Amino acid sequence: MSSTIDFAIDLGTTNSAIAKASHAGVEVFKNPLDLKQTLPSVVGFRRNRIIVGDKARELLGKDPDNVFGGFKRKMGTSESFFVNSLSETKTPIELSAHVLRELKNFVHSGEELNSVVITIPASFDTIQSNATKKAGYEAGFEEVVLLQEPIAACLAFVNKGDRSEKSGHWIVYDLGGGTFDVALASINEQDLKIVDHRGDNFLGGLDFDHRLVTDVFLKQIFVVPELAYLQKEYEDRTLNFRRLYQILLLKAEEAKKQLSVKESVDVEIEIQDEDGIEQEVILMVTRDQFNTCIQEKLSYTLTLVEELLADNNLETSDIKQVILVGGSTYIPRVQELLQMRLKTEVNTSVDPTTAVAVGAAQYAAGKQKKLKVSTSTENNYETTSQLQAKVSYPKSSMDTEEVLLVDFEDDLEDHFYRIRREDGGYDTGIIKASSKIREFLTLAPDRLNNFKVEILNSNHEPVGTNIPIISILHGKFSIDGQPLPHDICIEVDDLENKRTKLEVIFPKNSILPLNKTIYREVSKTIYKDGEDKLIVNVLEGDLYALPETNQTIGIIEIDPAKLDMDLVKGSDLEIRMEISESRDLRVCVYLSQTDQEFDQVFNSSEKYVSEAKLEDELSLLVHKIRKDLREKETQADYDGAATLKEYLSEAMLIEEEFALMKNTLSGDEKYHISERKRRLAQKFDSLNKDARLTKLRIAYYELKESVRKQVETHPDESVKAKFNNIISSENEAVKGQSIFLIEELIKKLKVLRSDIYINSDEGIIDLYYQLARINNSMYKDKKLADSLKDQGQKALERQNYKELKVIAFNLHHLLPEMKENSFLNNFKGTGVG
Amino acid sequence: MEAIIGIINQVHEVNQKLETKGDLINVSRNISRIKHHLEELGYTFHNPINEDYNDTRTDCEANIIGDFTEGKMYISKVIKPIIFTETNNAPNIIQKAVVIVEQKPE
Repeated sequence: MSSTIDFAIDLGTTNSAIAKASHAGVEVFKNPLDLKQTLPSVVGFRRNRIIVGDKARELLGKDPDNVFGGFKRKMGTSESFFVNSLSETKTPIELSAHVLRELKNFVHSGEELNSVVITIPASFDTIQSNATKKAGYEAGFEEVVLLQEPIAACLAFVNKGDRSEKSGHWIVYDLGGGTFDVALASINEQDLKIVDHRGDNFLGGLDFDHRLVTDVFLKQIFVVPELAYLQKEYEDRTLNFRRLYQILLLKAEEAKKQLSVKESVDVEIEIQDEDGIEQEVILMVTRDQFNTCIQEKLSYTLTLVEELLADNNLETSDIKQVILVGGSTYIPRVQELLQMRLKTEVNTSVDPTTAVAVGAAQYAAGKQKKLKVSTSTENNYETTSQLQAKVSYPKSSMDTEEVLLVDFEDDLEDHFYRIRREDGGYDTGIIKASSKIREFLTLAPDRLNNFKVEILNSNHEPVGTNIPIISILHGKFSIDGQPLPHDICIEVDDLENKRTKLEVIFPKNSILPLNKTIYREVSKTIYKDGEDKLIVNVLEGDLYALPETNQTIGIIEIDPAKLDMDLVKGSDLEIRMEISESRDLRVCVYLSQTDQEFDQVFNSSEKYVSEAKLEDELSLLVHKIRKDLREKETQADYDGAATLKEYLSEAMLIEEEFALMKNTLSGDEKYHISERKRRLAQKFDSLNKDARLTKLRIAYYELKESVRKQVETHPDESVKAKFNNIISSENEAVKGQSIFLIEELIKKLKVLRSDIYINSDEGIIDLYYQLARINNSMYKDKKLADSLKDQGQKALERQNYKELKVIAFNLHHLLPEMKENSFLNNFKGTGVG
Repeated sequence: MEAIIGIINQVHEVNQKLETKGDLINVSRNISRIKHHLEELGYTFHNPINEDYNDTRTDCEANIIGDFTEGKMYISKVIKPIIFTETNNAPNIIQKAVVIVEQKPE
């Protein structure tokens, strides 16, 4: 455990933050609920719940009897806040303690937080300072060290630059969301102190947003004839107008941020006219207009700065620099005016929104803890003992909220609870606990919702329980539903290998009903007057098997004559599939180029056989068996060859039957033939599958090692990243049963290897020599080849390998394309890429 | 990530415009397609329009119009949608919805 305090809290009037300094620098912790670095200093008491931060701020002004902000201004006074819902009063200290406790929750590292530095305004007197300390103790801190906010800010800037050069007087100009403070600091080698300060508790960025709405936006809206009626609504402050005003305020805040970097901004908004018709209005606001809006307020802040200097008998020339604190100092006009009026350097090197917290954490890092490490057994008991509870909740739901019941064995007097959703979208706030807790949990749609239930002691510190993470799946039926017995795939073209392959849509054991849309491209141009069809074939079976071994459960064959125009290769294809609980399959194919939709429902009790496809598959099967048979005969594997001969005769028999079927009118015959084909294909596929897989696995590992050697010595980090990316899917592919997956992996490695080769000087020289050795008569254009070889030789002599690369590529293009196997040239495929 | 958030907010706005006066049916495919690709990148979003609102909803930044009456509030306008991302199978909200909240009409 560190011997220094390290943690610091900027307990602000409007917003607060918590930071920690370590060797690595300062970390400003983020709210686990929304990842913002600041927490609005607002506390609400709603029915039996305590809410702190953003949710409470939303209700500020809406529920003034129960929601309180700005209580920092009342620290150290006898003023208190009567909470209507509790019928009791809360002091500013108690309210501040709630904010401090909430900030403790931001610390994700799980460290024990006993000591802390808390910042206070320079204007705080002893009573106010002590009140802040007390709030710290109430929040559970055992040691609280106070630090003035402007000093903290100065520290953040000092630690960024050279202190000796900047010795003298600094102005700390702090313009936040709702308050303005200016302090005069004196800084030298040894000392950093605040000499004097001024401030206005009711001036900040929010005022600027209001001015932008009233002075710019509304004026432009009222001159639109259809929207002129809003002027009257504005005067009457109607509900309709207040809704519009809120939207305009949000737009103003966004425009304000953009105007910090842009000269003008267009704000688009849709407003209903008197007849309820949406009118689109574009509000233009320039930086000049914005500057005019805020001029008066900014001028007032500068007057306070000048007064501060005058009261301390200082000239602007006595000021070494002005440092900026608070989000509103991002506005360029603020910096311009300061520079103009004070003629002094304005330092913006530290993030103004977190400067105070950062500086305070740097101070905390050098501050020794006075507190000894706690060894109290009582304390240990508190954290190790576990409260036992029974929980009850549904594991899945289609509703937007579900009830959680927690039943404790013990009485929970003086305890509280809080339930938060892990994605940050739900928070009950802090609620007084009883032995039975009943809470409605809001669910995020179509996903797994994890809730954490925390039980807190009287100091709002978590205590141990046996309550697990509450997981509720929304939008999906319970896993007790009907699972799919086989994979459902579609058949897509593998153009490179001139074959088709399966792409899984719904894997085995997916729970019905199911629906999914996939997007593919058309893999070949389908001419309207041609014969090729676009085939969307949905199959059931094993996704790792060959397509022809699976059972077609639905097929849409799009006849070219039905197309409105030729369907171009590369155009988009949208395939939507739905399977109902009763296993009806609906396939809907949408062709984006022709804007046509083909929709069909298939009942799983019927089989679907495409004659054209069956013919194709049969000839492919015969071709494959023949190829394997030749291999077996060459390897003198007579047993294997004998089996294949049997398969071949069976396949040829089926082909004959198919030819005969074409001449008969029997409708059932094709189902019979299709089934026979499928069985034969399955037998063929399983034959030697293990041997083929092993062969591929060996090939993969050999290739991987050879590429790894090249990658390890390669200077380019992106090559290493590509390699690691490829091998990251190795486990799934190599351990699985899919030949396609391993082939795919090998292909990726080969591409990477050729990339490395082609991008290296040695590789390109080697490639050039190989091409140069080829006789000119082999090239499509002999003369050009000769001239390129000539140029290549010269480039080689000059060692200009970039030029050599271009020449080598040009030569390569002059080579005739490789002849492909005549059978494969007839590959028709499905048209789905 | 900021660029993706920006794109999602634009898709949300386009969708809203189409719903009120555009030709939503004709472009809904394109919107679905964009959503699909965003999902592939690990981002999903949700428009909470007309949903009930209460102060446990930390997935929204609410701007409340009129009085706040527990149990009677709903989201009447959505300026920005809720954006989720998934890291290591744990969903995370990376943008809270920016919404207007008011009392349900009687």
